[in-house]
Amino acid sequence: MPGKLARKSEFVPLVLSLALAAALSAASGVFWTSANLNSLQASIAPTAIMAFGMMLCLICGYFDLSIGSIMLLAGLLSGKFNDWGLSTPAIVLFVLLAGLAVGCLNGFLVAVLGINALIATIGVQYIGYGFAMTLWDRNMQHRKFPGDFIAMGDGQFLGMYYMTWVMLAILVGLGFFLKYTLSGRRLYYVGGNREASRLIGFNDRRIVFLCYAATGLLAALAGVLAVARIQSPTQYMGGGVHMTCMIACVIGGGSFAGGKGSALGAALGVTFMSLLTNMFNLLEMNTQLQNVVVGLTLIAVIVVDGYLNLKKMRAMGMI
Amino acid sequence: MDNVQADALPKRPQSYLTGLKEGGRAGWLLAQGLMFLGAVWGQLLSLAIVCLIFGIGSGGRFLSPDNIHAIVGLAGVPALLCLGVHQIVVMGGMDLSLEGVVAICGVVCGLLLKNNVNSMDVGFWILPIVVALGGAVGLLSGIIHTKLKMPSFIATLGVQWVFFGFAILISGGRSIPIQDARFQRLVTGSHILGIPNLALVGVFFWLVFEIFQSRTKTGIAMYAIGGDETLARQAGINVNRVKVIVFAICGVMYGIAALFLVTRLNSAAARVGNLLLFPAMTAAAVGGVSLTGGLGRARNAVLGTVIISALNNGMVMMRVNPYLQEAVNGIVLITAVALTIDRKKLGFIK
Repeated sequence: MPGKLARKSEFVPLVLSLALAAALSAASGVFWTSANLNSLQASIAPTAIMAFGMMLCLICGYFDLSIGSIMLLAGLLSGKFNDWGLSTPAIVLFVLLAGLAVGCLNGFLVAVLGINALIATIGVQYIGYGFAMTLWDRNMQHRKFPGDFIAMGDGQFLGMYYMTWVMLAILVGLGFFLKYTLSGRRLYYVGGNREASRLIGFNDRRIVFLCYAATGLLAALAGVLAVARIQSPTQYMGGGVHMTCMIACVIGGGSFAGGKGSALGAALGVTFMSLLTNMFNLLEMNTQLQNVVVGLTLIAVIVVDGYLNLKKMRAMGMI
Repeated sequence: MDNVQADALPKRPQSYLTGLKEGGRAGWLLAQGLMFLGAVWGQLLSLAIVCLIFGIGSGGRFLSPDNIHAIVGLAGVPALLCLGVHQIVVMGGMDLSLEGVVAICGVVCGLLLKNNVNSMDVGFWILPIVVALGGAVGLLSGIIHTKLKMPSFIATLGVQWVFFGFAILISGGRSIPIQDARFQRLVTGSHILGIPNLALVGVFFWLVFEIFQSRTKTGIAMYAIGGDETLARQAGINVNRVKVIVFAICGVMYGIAALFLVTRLNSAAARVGNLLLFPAMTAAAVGGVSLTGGLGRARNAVLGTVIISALNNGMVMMRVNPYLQEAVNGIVLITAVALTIDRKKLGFIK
């Protein structure tokens, strides 16, 4: 039984997270305080929601670098809609629609036009960032959101933020979708061998398109929740979050080659990355060194992922 | 029997020298010129449109000699970077290590030239040093890509982080002021016919790469690999060797560009490389280098850089919102890529 557990791809991020949490509670007295745990939740939940989208793309063999921009766009749009005096449900609805639209743009560029995912999503990243920042004005952060909007980010249920519950709900739903439904299993076929999946009759373009659309929607949701938590939109939201999500997903069992990964893995990977950031803050490490540590994590992840792919390709006789 | 076979073999393609003999020098030049124009007329048209729009929009200021001087001078360093990165794109790969290589080379330039952090002063010996360093990093990317069989964008993404991290570590995250003013005078000056020196360097490397791509075995093999890697391998090309060589050449270009970047500012820091990759990729795409590989020459890279440089200069001149400028660049990149990809190669997307 332990052997079976250890072979699961979620085992690595689980052990890493537990080890880091244990080390942090030993090294720092404030780790288990409610303030720190709350800040951990507020950092894990939106990032994990975005990582779910990234994981969908990675399973299909693609990735989305524009999620940070979509998050920023969602944040600044909710500020803008608030300026126009819209009510909370309207703000959330329109922002989610905007995120969905950007996701569809990604999907159109990658799945329909066939542009390299890297270039298409970097391009959309710049477009999204540019348009989002034209909405930005300095006074935006001083205007108040409606009370129910704030409550969405600030309210707690059974000691956890609503956004954590939202994240857990998506985790359960997505986990079920990926594991037990036909549509969910199709993603793995498309990621494993796209040519073959098309030959047995899957509409691979539609599947990839929908994954990108879902990613856009989830990123916008994360943006709304993050704004509701910090109570004002900032221009720094979403910076570098695509890297964090990508590293988290690959730690959590995803692969750049596609065909692997799970929702639980993404959530655990994000937990590990958030604990890492939490460690930097608790131990007061300097920011330059933080970049180096994140870079080293990325390299370790890339090397292990590349090595596993090489092994798989050798086993299949592809090289 | 042997004679029959020899006759049946196709004749060797006519070399440029035979063309020179038959049509005379003027005819040869004309033919070359027409071929050149035929290959890049779309890019020249876009450049003309950009110039027309901003020329009218700015009331002629955009086309004033001073502004053209500024555009050409500022296009120099991006042109060097684009000349490097477009060769990887031609082979059907992707190089994300640009910013990391520029960062490490820039910081090394800062530490080895006369500065106020240490007592080094290597003077003009910096050029071979930076060429060797850039080449070595490029070689490393190439070896990781070919030997570990990783997709080039993942291999170079790793390399980018490693060397960006190194650059931060050895510079301590600070800017290093360079006190050797000779370099800045050279880099910012315009000594010949009023043409900026950086533009001349760009033109020099453009010609070098044109010759490399049309006259050397490695350069021609690069296009074969971009066209179809399996076929190239079956035709007896040592694909891995060509790839490693081309990656090393690109590293050299990044190194030289880094030297110019830090000496122009007289200050070296790890962040000098930030935000250079995206414009370089955009320039390559706008110039007509196809992301599916096999298409696009040095002239495309240079023209693309000039177009992007003119576009950005024009937008600043017309006081376009700076964030909107980024959005415009993103739209330009995606449009250019969508126009230049070769859909036959995508296989499963029809």
